[in-house]
Amino acid sequence: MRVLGIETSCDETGVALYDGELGLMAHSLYSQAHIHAEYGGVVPEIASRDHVRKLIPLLDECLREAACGRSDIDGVAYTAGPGLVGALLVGASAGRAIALSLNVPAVAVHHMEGHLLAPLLEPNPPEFPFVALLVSGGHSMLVEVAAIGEYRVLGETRDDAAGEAFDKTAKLLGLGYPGGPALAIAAESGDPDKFSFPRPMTDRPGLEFSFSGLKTHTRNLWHKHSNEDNAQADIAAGFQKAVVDTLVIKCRRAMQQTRCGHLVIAGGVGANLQLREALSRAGRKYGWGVSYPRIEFCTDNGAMIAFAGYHRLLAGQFESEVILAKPRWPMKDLGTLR
Amino acid sequence: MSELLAIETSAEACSVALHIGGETRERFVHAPMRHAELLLPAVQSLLADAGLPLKRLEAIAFGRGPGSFTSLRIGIGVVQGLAWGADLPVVPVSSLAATAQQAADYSSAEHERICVALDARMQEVYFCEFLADGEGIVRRVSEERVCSPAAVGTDPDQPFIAVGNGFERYEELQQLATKASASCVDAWPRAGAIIKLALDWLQSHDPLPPARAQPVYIRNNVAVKPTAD
Ligand SMILES: Nc1ncnc2c1ncn2[C@@H]1O[C@H](COP(=O)(O)OP(=O)(O)OP(=O)(O)O)[C@@H](O)[C@H]1O
Ligand SMILES: [Mg+2]
Repeated sequence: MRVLGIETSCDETGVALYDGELGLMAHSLYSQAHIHAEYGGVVPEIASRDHVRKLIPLLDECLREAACGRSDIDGVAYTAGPGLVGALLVGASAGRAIALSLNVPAVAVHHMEGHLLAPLLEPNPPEFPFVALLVSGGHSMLVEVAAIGEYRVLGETRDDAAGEAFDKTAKLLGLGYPGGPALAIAAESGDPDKFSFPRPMTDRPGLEFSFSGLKTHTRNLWHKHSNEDNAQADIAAGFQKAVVDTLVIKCRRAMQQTRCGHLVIAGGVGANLQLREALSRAGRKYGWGVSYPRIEFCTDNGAMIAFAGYHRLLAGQFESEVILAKPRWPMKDLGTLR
Repeated sequence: MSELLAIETSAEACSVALHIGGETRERFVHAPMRHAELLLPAVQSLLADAGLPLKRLEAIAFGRGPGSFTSLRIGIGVVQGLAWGADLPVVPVSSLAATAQQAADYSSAEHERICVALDARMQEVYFCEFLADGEGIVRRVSEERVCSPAAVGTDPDQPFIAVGNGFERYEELQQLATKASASCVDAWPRAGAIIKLALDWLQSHDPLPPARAQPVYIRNNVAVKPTAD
């Protein structure tokens, strides 16, 4: 079975073809980040408008790259949520209509299931069960994955998501948008121990996160020290280390609690090299396997949606002709495959 | 004989029409915010009832706006998907022209301006003026624009027909409508009218590739860039 995946939940237009036997055949991506950068964050209406412009050219490119025709598509998977409703509707409308025109089934994919399963697109995919650390622009959670479709949320953030904390801190430090990658680069020339930072929610048990206190702490530091030499880089480095340490502590707790042998990292913050290194080190030290998606599949992409959709379609799931867009869609409401 | 499908979702109504064997069949519902739910089942049943596979169509015509951004993009997303999947070309039609065509079809008055004002929210209307030609097809005689109801600037002393909910929802336009020779405030852009205008357009144009299924918003100032502080 060959599945076309379409992702338009935020500011990336992604299209991919996944084949059950051949694996990922092609994927095309267009990021609008540079457009939203001028506004300091994603402008939903601009995002929706850009998806409508880019979708068909990306579909054409993807088919060309895969050297396959429309009639070779056996199913369509589109991101139905969570995300920006106007943006979601572009991919959902087109995706559902493509399925109708090809007379193949369509499935509405949960964006976070896409992120969660992205590491399985890599060679030597992890075996079930595993624990996934999902850290993206809108979410931070630890999830126990018993099988595809069987997710138990172990802990979530109480306030900001990890990526959001990176973005807001980068903005505060004048590093621009999107903030995560910019902050990581700035941190390279900083001393992470120059200033002290809290490790939020690590002093009490539990698997919940909170990043807003860290954000406030960072703001206070910046206001006090912004005119000092190298303060921007030092604060960026200290902030990044605080986030990474906190995530490592929580992952370790989740691994102990679930007795799982494998940790998977997914979502945009998973592109952070310090985090990847720190978790790999922890894995070696405590004896867990650790997997990540390739860097480009940490952030939004069509490949993860094609892959998640493939498994749901394979399990016989499909939807009627209704175009589904669910801006809020709690992961616990996600159905299992059976 | 050219077979066309038309989709119009730029306003509160959701409609689909099929032109087959020289006649037009239309499905129309006034159902605000329900386009995502209703549109594809309507397409499906219209094609099934006609026993016509999508691939046999000559093109897909669509209301390209202006109108409500979200519902407009649902329709255009569907047009893109159907056209791309079935490898069909597309035909864009102004949703204001489709609204004017409604009035032209019902009134026999020639040489009378048809003024269309559709509520654009934010105290503005989408506005444009049309004249019907000898064949009864509406032709645009002013620019399509979005403006405040007070700024439509049409000459109330030349005979005109007032069309669209803008003439009902804004006081300035209600007053203007009292001078109209006829008014039709509950006209919506409909897929049947899109078919008519698309057939006319196809007489002098080739249909366009699927990627050209794009909205015309008119209202383009949707966000302000932050100024450096
Ligand atoms: N190298 C990096 N270091 C830290 N953060 C990063 C890095 N690269 C990307 N990010 C962060 O990842 C986030 C984007 O990830 P992603 O695309 O998964 O999120 P999203 O799709 O916006 O949100 P969600 O998936 O929760 O709906 C941004 O907040 C960005 O700053
Ligand atoms: Mg994402």
